[in-house]
Amino acid sequence: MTIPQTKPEQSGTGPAWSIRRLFPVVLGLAVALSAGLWFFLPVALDAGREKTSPPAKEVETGGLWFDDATAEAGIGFQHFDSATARHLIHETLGSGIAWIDYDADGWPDLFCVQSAPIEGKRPANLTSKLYRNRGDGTFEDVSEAAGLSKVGFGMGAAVGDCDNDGFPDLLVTYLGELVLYHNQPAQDGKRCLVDIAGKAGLKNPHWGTSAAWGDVDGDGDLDLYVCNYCEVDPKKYPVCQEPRTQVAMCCPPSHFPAVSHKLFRNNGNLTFTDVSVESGITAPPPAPGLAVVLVDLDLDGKLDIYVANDMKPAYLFHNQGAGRFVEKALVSGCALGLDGSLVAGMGIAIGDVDGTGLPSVFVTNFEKKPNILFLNRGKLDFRESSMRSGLGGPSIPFLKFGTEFLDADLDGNLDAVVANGHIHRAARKFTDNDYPQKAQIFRGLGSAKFVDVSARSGAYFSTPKVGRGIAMADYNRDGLPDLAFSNVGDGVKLLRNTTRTPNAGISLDLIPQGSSAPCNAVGARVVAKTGESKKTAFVVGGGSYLSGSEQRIMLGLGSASQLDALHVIWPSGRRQDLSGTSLKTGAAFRIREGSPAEAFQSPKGRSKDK
Amino acid sequence: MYAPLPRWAFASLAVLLTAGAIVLVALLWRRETNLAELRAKAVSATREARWDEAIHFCRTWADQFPGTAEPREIQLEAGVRSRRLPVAIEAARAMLRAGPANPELQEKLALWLFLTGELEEADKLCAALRKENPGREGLLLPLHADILQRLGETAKAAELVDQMLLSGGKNPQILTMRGSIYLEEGNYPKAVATLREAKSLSAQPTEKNLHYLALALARNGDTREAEALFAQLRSRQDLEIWDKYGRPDSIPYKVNLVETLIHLGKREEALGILSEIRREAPDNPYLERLATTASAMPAGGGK
Repeated sequence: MTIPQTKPEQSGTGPAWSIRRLFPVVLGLAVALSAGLWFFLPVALDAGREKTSPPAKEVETGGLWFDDATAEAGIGFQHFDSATARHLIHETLGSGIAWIDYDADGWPDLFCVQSAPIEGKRPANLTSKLYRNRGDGTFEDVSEAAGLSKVGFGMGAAVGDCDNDGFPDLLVTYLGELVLYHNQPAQDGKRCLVDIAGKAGLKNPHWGTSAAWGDVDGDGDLDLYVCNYCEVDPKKYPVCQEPRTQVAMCCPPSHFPAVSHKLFRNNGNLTFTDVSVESGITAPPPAPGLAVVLVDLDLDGKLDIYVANDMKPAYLFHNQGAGRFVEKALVSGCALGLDGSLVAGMGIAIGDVDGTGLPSVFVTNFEKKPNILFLNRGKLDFRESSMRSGLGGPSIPFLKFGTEFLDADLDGNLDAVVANGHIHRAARKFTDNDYPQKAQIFRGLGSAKFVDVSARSGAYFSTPKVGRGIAMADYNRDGLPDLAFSNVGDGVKLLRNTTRTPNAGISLDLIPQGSSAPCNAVGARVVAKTGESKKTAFVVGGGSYLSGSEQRIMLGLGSASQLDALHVIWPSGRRQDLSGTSLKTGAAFRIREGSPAEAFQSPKGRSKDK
Repeated sequence: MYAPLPRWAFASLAVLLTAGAIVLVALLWRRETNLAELRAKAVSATREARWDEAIHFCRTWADQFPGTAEPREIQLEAGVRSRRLPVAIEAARAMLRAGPANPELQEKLALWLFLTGELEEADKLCAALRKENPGREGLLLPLHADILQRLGETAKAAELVDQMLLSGGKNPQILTMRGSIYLEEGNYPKAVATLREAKSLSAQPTEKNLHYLALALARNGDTREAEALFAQLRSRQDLEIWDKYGRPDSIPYKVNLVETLIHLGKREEALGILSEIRREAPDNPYLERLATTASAMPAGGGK
């Protein structure tokens, strides 16, 4: 009975026979396809996920989120890598970036410091770059129009309106010289930057690194502090080898004499006087300085100077008034790291991380050593709290440079970001580290506690780079702090903050009396109250590493819809109570000393709303 | 009931079975070859200090043969010898997961975790170890106290330190730890007394002791002695760096030597070295200031 039904199959003709004969092949193909899908699909999905916004899970687990907006913004700066076969120490430091609203249109523009060959001919195209913020998320390269033609071994940049004309000026440190770009009107009605360092009397024939502006003598104009690294003669450069493996490497700064740093007093007429000796800043032994911040650490109304030195104790120049300083870092407990160990101080961030209303100091450090957090207990008493804060442990494997505190999700707790990257190209030969390293971002939990959320904060924090500078600004005016990173031999990266948060904050541009630029409010302090919560923020000069952030206060206020009280303590000492005014969160205000707050440049829609 | 299987089906089955058998044999053979190859590569790379390769082969070996302890043992050795503690930690964790309790390895792991800043895990490990191995407490207590202090658990750390001082007498390291806890608690007079005692018990006080004693003195109002101790600490750290990186005849070393000579009142020697340095590094205001200081000193002095 069944024979007729099987006949066609036995005969080997017809479609059924073909299908059955092909069965093993089809089965094999199916298995292979399934295996392929099983293997590749998650990878493909994962890759897609990195390029887009954070999945819900990331937000739930406390990640912050930053998208790389460099290309869409039109920032094309490429850092020149000065690497040589001689492993000169100069090759290690990179150069910085600074946010400067050079045309005073309320939108921060980005200045990128360029490096150059250490010796020999320097190509004319290696100029620093200025990118003008168009206000629509894009930038235009205005370097040439602004007059930036200087080529040199550039290091750091600091922004300050040194003549109080409302247009920020720019100090750039170079190996062997300083450049002071005075912001002047150009013939086409726009602005240009003209180097007046020589006329202004700003001389520093040393290796200047980070610099900071601030009115340290209280006379109403910005003075200038310049860190110097060490004195190196490339013609007499020693050969250095890693002690254990004998691999050739760049010599450490301990091989070279350090030189005292510089303090220039602003004479008020676009000239400066070198007051390094009489101010007392040359009193302590010289040390290789890499970062400086001007901040009133003991809230006595006078700007102090904190300097991170490389493999030497940090300086804390306590302002005695009348332009005199006494160095007190060691006795204050903020000069050395864990158990008195030396810190290779690279970058500095300042913030009230524990709700005491006092500025604590965070210093980045060398590999295999933790970043150091000095909690401010008042009256220049600092407590080293690196490991217990959560900022120390996860940082140990990395070699750390630029850093900033920011409230990325506006929850009222400061977060911290750090740029990492080794100094030795052949690092892998003698450490377990690579030359490029991933940057890190730590979410603040309040009470000086942090958790490393780098793995869930966007692709940039998973991509190794030779990171150096970090500068923060709200470049798209959406109320969230954004970041720019400088990297050795690589492009500057612009990261747009796209953290999805229900929180709101308030942005404040402070303009002290006698000035019309927010960058001159260095030393001002803001105390904001919402319900039981009190937040304190500081306008500081300098900070990070070779870089300058926008000096706009961005206070995260959580779910509050309005500020209950706002006090501004100005550099002049005036205390201004703005509690009566309606200061709604999610808005930006400009506050001139002694005047009511004016709504200014309200934040545009957040990324989540777009 | 059933129709006989057609010839093509037998043929297909036979081909599949044969292919399967060949693949299986090949896999088994390959596995054995892999095992031998990986072992040889891991061992030789470790012996020749090719650390990246050694670690790679150990990891591959451990992944492919999860039941084998040897790759983790070699990885641990490679991690320790190359001073790549995260590699050693990874191996130790795997060994402890797979194998029986090993207090010695757990102790090492706790120390490595402490050194790499993974304090929460180190704390848990120490607590568990101390509970399970009361006989080994002597070795673990100082480490656990240190971990707790760094975690900010000052009261718990103090408890352990006091326990050590009661049972083991006055050890300068433990006293230094106690002094640093007093300092943290804001009890400056007690911190000074304890840290002084620790210093007196040691011919060469540790950096930690000098640091905390100087800080305690400063907070207790004795700034002058604090600064002298900090100067001592700074000189010692300079020397350590020069020892580590070499070139003890470098300019910074000579500057430091000059400072010491001035401190000791040895004018001529200080001036001699200074003139040498100033030739190499002219226009250095600090050197000029040192020269002025040295010149102003009485000739032929020396303490």
